[in-house]
Formats: sequence, structure tokens, C-alpha cells
Amino acid sequence: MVNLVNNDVLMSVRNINKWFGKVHALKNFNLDVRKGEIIGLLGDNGAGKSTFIKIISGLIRPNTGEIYWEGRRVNIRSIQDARRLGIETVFQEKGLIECFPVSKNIFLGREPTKFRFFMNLKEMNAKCEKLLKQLGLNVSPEQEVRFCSGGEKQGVVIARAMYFRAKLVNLDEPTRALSIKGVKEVLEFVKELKKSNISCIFVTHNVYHVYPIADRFVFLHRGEKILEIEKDKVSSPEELNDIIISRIAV
Amino acid sequence: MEMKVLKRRFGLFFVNQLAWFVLIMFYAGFATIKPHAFLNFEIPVFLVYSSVHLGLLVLAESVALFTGNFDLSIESQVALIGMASGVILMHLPKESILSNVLGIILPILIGLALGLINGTFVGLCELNPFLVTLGTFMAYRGASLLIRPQSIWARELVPSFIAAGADPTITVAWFAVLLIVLGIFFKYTKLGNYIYAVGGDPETCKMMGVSPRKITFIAYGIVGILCGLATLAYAGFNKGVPINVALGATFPAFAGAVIGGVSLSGGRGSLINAFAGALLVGTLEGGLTMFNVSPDARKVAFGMLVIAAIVIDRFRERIRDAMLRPV
Repeated sequence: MVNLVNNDVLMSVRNINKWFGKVHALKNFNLDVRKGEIIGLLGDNGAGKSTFIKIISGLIRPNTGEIYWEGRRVNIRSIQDARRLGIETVFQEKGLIECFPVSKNIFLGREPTKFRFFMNLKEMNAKCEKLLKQLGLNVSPEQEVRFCSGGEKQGVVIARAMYFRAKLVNLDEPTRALSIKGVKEVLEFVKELKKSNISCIFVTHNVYHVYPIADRFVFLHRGEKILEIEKDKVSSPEELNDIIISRIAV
Repeated sequence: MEMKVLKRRFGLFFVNQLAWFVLIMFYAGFATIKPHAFLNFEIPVFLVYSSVHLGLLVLAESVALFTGNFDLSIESQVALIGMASGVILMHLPKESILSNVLGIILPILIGLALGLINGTFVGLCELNPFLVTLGTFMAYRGASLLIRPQSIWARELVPSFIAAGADPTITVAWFAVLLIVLGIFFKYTKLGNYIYAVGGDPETCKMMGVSPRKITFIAYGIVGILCGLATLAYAGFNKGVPINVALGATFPAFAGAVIGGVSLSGGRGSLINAFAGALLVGTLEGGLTMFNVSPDARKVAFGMLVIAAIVIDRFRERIRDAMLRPV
């Protein structure tokens, strides 16, 4: 059990339970997320990964359990609550307006203004350009998002999280339906998050995608955490796969 | 490389301003056939002036379309605003400054209220925009006849109510200022940006803390204000409030918006180009009338124009996409 006042721990969740009707989607779930740590949250479809992400993003509320943020107990009732704490979530295929330029997407809802009501488009474009360069994204701030590749879109959302100084970024299946090049790009973006000391929960069902970048792996099966293991305890994704399979068999 | 960029920029400009180019083409066509009529300076001025009232309804419809919704009730809003303000203004002293100020403000305020009624149902209660505005389309027109089942003419009203839309130069001048103000509003303000954003993807807006319900509510308020201004333009053009004011204007307003390139699925479009759509409708009507084309044949031509606009719009989007796609 991790000490809740440990300065290294950014977020702790304790005994989270969530039912959807008769379905027990998340069973007594506990997790600590350390600062600047990347957690690979693994599991098959319906394992409860997305349910957990939705709970800490404020989209749904747990039936029981507590969430501690930097040692303090918090209630996350909405996306705005989560964002105020510094939690940004990137949902599958969501979070970007396709017909809007990249810069307007990054600042949507939090535009820099002049004379209170007017957007400062110059500042938005300049800041966006700097941010995209930092992330190694070869996209113009004025380019409409629909012309970005899948990997670039994930990059734009990650850039947004970085700009607004999120402390925890949740990526819900960020590599799903991406090309090999797209997956590589996303993994590079996540490494940039780590460099900025931003924690990340990387949700996926593909061990190979998350293995190169994660510090720790958590495996969910039918709403239950059946494995939590540090990266230095496994030598390859194949070994991790074998451990997971042996746990599921039990 | 420079030449390529220049070509691309010019191409994009042409594609974005297509409605204006088509308008010039039509006008030049009419002028070639009947030069003595169409090369007279008064004709284009009159065409612009006679397009202002429909133009305002095109702008109103465009704002509703930006949010991914639409408004079938705009013509009935004009009728109810006209009758309600007319009946009040009939009983005010005609020379008083206050009543003349009210002559301008009252229609705008009533328009705002009617727009917000639509906004409450479509935006705040998230009801289907087709059914809600179909309901208010009938209710507003019925209410206008309940208030007064006969026309109101200029001599019964305070002068400002008529004057705002009676003189072509004044009407075109304030309309031009309004177009510029709206252009700035939609391009540079946060609220203008959110109206497009809500039409582009309401779910994403919700996630980013922009409430689609509130923004849609406000957008319908703007639609109402534009209908209030349209009422002033109609009153000036007709020298009063006829009992059937703006009857059947909703669909030409839709057509104008579509011809002007406003996306029916929301999130995209420009009000200046939407007005080009209204002008095109006006020019076609005016031109065909001058050539003694029967009203029925004009309707056919008009319908064909709308279909052509949709087909051209499809190709235009493809060309635009190809030009915008990064190399």
C-alpha cells in the first residue's frame, strides 16, 4: 500500500466500484499514479479500462470509492472538475473539431483574448506553432484537423494537454486504427510528456504498443485488477504476455 | 514553388468566393442581352436594396445553420414582429423622439424574444429543430393574425419604423455596416467561434467546456435579432406591414444560404458569401422579370438554381479539399 501523503504520488484511487445495472464493471480497484510515470493500463474489451478512465475524467461517477489528488481527497463530478485538477483525457476519435484549424482546436474553450471578447488569433497561432515544433509535429497551426493523419491528431490533443500544463494525461486507446508510422509518432509524443514530468495512463489492449514506453503495467480482467508489475520485473513484451495469460488462467 | 503557392491561393480565393463570381456572370449575361437596362447604375443599386430584406433572412438562416440546426420559422417571426410592433407603434405619438427610438428598438427586442423561444426548445431542451421551428412557424404566423387580421400602412406608424428600410442608400449603408460587424463577430470573437464549433462537433465542445445548449440558445437569439432587422427592411420596402409579409420567404432564405456556400451540416460558411447567395436570387428574379418570364417559369428556374448550387457545392468542397490538403 502506497502512502497517500507520499510526495511522489500524484493520484491515488481506493476501492473504486462501479456497477452498470447488474454488471460489476469495476471491482475494488486501487491504483497509485506517480509523478511523471507512464502506466500501461491493459485489458481486453469490457475489462473496465475505459470505465476507470471515465471515472477519473469526470464523465461518470463511481458507486463507491475515493480519489486522492496530491494527497487530498477530491470529488470529480465533471470534465471541468478534472481539468481544474490537471487531468486531461484523450478519448478515441474524440476531442477535435474536424473542420477547425489545429490552433483553434488546441485553444477551444480557453482562447487567449484581447479586449475580453476577441480571440488573439496571432498569439494562438504563434503559441501553437511553437508547441507543435516542440513535439516534432510537422503540421501548420492553420491546417484543418481533417487533413491530419491519425497519429498527428493524437499529437494535437497531446500538445493541448502539454500547453495547459496537465499533470495527468489519459490516453484511451490512442494507437487504435493507426498505421505503424502513426503508432511510432504517438509513442514519441508520450515520451515528450514524460520529459515534461507529466504522468500518463496509456490505455490499450496491445502489449507491444505500450511496452517500449511504460514504467509499469496494470492488467484488468472483467473489472478486476489481476496484475500490477513494474517494467524492470519483465524483460520483454512476450514475457509480459505470458504472465498475463497465466494470471487469466488462474 | 512561389508560383505554385500563388496559384493555390488564387484557386482557393476563387473557390471560396464562387457565389460572387456566379453573380457577376449572371449580371454580365443579362447586361449583354439588355445593355440599356442593366448597364444603368440605378439597376444594381436597386437590386442590392431589394435583396436586403431577404438578405437579412438569409443571414438569420445561416446563423442557425452554422450551429448545425435550422429555423423554419423566420418568415413567421417577421410577421409576428411586424404586427406586434406595428400595433404598439400605431398608438404612440408620431413626432416624439422616444416613440421613434422605440420604432427601431421594439422590433429588435421582440425578435430577440421570439428567437430565444426557439432557442429554449432547440438549445436548452435539446428538442428537434425541425419540429420545434415548424411549430413556431405556424404559431407565430397565427399569432400575428390574432393580433391584427389586417395590414398596417406607413401613415398609421411612427416614421422611424418605415424610414429605416425605405431609402435605398440608407438601407444599403446600415446593411453593409451590419455585414462588416457580423463578419468581425464570427471571425474574431470567442462567441462567434463557438457558434461554428457547436455546429462542427457538439460532443467535442462539451468535452472542452463549451456548452452546445447555451451556445445554440444564444445563436437563436441572434437569429431573432436579424429577423427584427429584416422586419424593419420589409416595412420600409413595403411601406407598412402587409398581412402576408414575408410569406414564403423561408425557402428562398435557405436557398440563398446554400448558394452562398453555408454548410447544411453546420460548422462552416461565411455570411458575406451568404449575402452573395441572396443577391444572386434577387438578380435572377429581377433579370427574369425584366425579360417578361412568367412567375411559374421563374419558380422553375429558381428551383434549378438551388439544385445547381448543391451540385456545385459538392464539387467545390472537393476542389477546396484538394487545395487545402498539405503536400
